[in-house]
Amino acid sequence: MLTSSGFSTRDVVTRTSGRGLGLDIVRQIAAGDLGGELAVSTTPGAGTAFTLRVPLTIAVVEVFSFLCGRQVLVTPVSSVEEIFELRPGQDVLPPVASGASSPVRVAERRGEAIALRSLGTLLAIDDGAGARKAIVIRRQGALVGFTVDRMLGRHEVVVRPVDDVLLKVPGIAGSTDLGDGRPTLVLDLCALSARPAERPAS
Amino acid sequence: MSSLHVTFRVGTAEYAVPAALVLHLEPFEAATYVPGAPSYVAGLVQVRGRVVPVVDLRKRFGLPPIDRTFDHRVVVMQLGTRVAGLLVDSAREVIQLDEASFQDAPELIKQQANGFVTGVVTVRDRLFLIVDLPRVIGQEQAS
Repeated sequence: MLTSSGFSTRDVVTRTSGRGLGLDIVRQIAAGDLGGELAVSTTPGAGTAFTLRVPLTIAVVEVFSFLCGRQVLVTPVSSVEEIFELRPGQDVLPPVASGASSPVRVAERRGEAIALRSLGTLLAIDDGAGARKAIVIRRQGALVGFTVDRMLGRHEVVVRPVDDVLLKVPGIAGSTDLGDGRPTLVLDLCALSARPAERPAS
Repeated sequence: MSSLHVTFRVGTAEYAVPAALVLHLEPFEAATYVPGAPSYVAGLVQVRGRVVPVVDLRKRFGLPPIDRTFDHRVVVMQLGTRVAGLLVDSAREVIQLDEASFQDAPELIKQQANGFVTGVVTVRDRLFLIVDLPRVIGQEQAS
């Protein structure tokens, strides 16, 4: 009843309140858009408790955190096929015709050829020389590995959108906080794997 | 009509922006590097639960970088629906400025400043530059 549209306890409408909209909007967003629920319980003379339930799956994403150069990054666990350590000599450099600044290497893994990209050079973080861990994703059926320096861990995080036009970079899905109070970038490796390697070295 | 303005310094020049657009002044510790963002974007910072891009005004204004000091501030501003931070050398004053006293910037300055500076105002021998904030923060898509 409290949340029905147009219901108000006010006799007069002021500039900001009294139209019977507020709780209706809260209920619509919580129960409708987010798939949660809004419960109200009142004890006369004591107060009212509003209980807002929002499904965790919307808010929380499981991610792997890893080190690329000196920067900590994360990527959703759901997109990762596997993570393995490159043996010395396992990856080879195929012919590079275009003089790309971030050439794709190739490695054999369980009888399949995996294209390997150095995340450090792709993101212009470092030269990627020490990156021997490969995070493998599947894009349109093909395996693509991204080499990083070190895997750090697995976390459940809240992803915030990074929506300013200055930050609209392909491959950056959002930002999160791993507990240090600083933003950590959430990478969409599938989108990154499509980025051409012919970026001029800066 | 006079209104409150936040003043800040970048290099040797002082600037004034309407206080109504300023959400917070924050000390600057470090920003998260965003690969692929325009080079004048220092990175991302988290300000009271919000993640905002920080524009390094030294870089934007073509000044050499300096070592970080305790005076460095991020001026977090609301421009329409966008929220962005300006990294400045220091920001320590809020003053009343009469917008009717703003003068057009000299043409040579406008040209050299790439349209960033639109006006000037003088208050008791001090000169403040007025900037075109949407232009300074920029729309450049990442490469």
